[in-house]
Amino acid sequence: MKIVLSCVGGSAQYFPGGGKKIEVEARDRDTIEDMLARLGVSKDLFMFAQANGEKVDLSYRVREGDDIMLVSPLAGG
Amino acid sequence: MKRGGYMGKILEIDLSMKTSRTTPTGEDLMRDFIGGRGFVAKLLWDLVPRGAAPFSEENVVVIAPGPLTGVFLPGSGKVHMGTKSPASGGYGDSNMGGHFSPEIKCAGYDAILVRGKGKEPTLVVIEDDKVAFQDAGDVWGRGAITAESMLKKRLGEDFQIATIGPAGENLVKFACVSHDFGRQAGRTGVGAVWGWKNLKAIAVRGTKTIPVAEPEKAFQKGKEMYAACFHKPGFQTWTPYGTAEVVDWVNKVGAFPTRNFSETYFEGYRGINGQALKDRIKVTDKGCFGCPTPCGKYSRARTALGEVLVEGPEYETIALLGGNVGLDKIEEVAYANAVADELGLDTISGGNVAAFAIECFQKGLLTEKDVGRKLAWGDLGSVVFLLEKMARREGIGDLLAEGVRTASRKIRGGSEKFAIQVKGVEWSGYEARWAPAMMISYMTCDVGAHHNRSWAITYDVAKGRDTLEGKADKAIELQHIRPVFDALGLCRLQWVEIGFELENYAELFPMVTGMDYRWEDLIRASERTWNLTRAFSAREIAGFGRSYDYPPERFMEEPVPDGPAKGKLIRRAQADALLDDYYAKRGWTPGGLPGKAKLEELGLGYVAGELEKDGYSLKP
Repeated sequence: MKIVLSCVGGSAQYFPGGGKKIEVEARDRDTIEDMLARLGVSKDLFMFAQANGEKVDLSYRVREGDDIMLVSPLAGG
Repeated sequence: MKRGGYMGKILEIDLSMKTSRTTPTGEDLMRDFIGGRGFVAKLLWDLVPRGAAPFSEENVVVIAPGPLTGVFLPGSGKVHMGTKSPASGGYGDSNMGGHFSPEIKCAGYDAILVRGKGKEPTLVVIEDDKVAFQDAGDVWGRGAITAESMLKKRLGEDFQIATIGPAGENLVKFACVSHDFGRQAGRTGVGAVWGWKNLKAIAVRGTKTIPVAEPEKAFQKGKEMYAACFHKPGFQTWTPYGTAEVVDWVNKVGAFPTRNFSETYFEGYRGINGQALKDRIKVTDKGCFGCPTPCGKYSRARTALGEVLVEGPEYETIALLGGNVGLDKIEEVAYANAVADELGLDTISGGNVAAFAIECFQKGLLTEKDVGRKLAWGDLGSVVFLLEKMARREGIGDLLAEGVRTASRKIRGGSEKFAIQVKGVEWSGYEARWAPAMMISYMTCDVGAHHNRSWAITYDVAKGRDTLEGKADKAIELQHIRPVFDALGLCRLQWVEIGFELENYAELFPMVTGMDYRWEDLIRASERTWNLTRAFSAREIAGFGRSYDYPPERFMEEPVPDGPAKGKLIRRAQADALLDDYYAKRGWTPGGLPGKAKLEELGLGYVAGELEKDGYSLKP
């Protein structure tokens, strides 16, 4: 199945395509963490994600057509 | 092209003589140092006499907006304040948001300098060209927030007011300047210098227009930036929680200050994270001047000690007055936040000092007789007691008010190892034993252990947390980029949190100022400023250099005991390797001083001459 992945914030520079939306092939029962591992991107670069606009953990199991946006940690505070 | 962004005048205030005058903003000052932090650095170098005590009439406080402050674009409300720091003895500065900074611009000034010492508690009222010195006897002794409220009633809502609290009056080395009921220039003890000068408050009202070189283009660009803010995906994730959002992540990567940095994962983080703040205490959002993405949160919290309404807590306060003292309820963190704000204490240093005292008590280095009560982790009563004692310099508080470096030298017994500071300034909210880029950022930060010049943990995560390679380079890169915002008089959160591209600022700068600068010119000015602040500390602190750049011994000798970073530490040899690399990449000497060639390349040849007078060798 295909899903869309993107990233917002400072970690985008370490994400394929600089954080812009990319289409990725996902396997059945894949979590966001699984997908990041296959892309070679550390899950520790992100606080959480939004799946179709809803806040989810990185352990969220993706579904066909999901639009997943990864959210970087706040750089400072 | 005509000049814009600058008001063309610097206001000089002498509290001793109760006089003021203006001088033109120098062309070379604008050209080489841009504004804000750049102005602070250059004016302190020029105006603070060599060897002047931080608490002296000769020491100067510089308050500087930037050329983009007050201009129509997101986040244009920052002001920088600097002085010879009573905490470090060297260069010190801090910045705050709110509405103070644009008001200074509208009153007609690119900077305000404060010299001398008032004979009695003083309120300086600036109303465009008029400067008045008023008696502040009725607000002296009052809390910073209360004093601001009283002065607003006296002067009118149109005045923007900055105040100090009892901590500043009592010369606490980490006293802050407070404004807008919860925004603070918190670090390096600027508030204590105000206190020594008997300066309780500055109120500003301005009615002038900030000139813009190309108003139509700049306005169009500003509109685009606002519109882009609302459409950036980060807008929706960032605003509901503000900076508190990051608590979970900092725990996840094993970097959360816990019980005086003895640990880096706080088991009670869910009780003090962004979700707890939003669900349990948040009343509404609060933004600074022109901000479309407010990170501030007004909160109402009820605890066993009482109920408070407070702006906050921000991430830093949650880290240092939460996990670092063992508090695991957001209501209690908010309460401690409100106490510190009213007392005029920096919550970062205040939390560090409280944690240091609790650890000393736990280890038997301070007794119930020394302190006046028992101290325990996770006990709000202990924390509030310590904050009040240090702000008023009562009992043990008199020693704690000096900060952990000085306090540990008096208490001894090994407490120096867990005095968590660099250059006399306590460590902010990111433990870095497993993050070498963040570690070298803290070690070399020009004002002491503060994160805002370079925040590099994700670089460590992306490039490998166990390798030192490239970490000094990243710290240097960020130490140039991030302070550009401090020079421009802008908040950087729209860049780091919302995802604004840096090109936006490079594009806007010439439209506002009329100066034909590209991004690399701004970075060059930032590098110049960085070398100058380092030189200032070297001029003012005998023997300054590498020995002032080491992290606390705890980080070099005690492996993290548990959590995601278990077993990690930065050994002294690793710290030295980071410093060797950092100094070499900067063109500095092995002893950590700016090299003569680098200074000359940056147009700072006169600085080299001054340092050589002190016997420093500047050969890399």
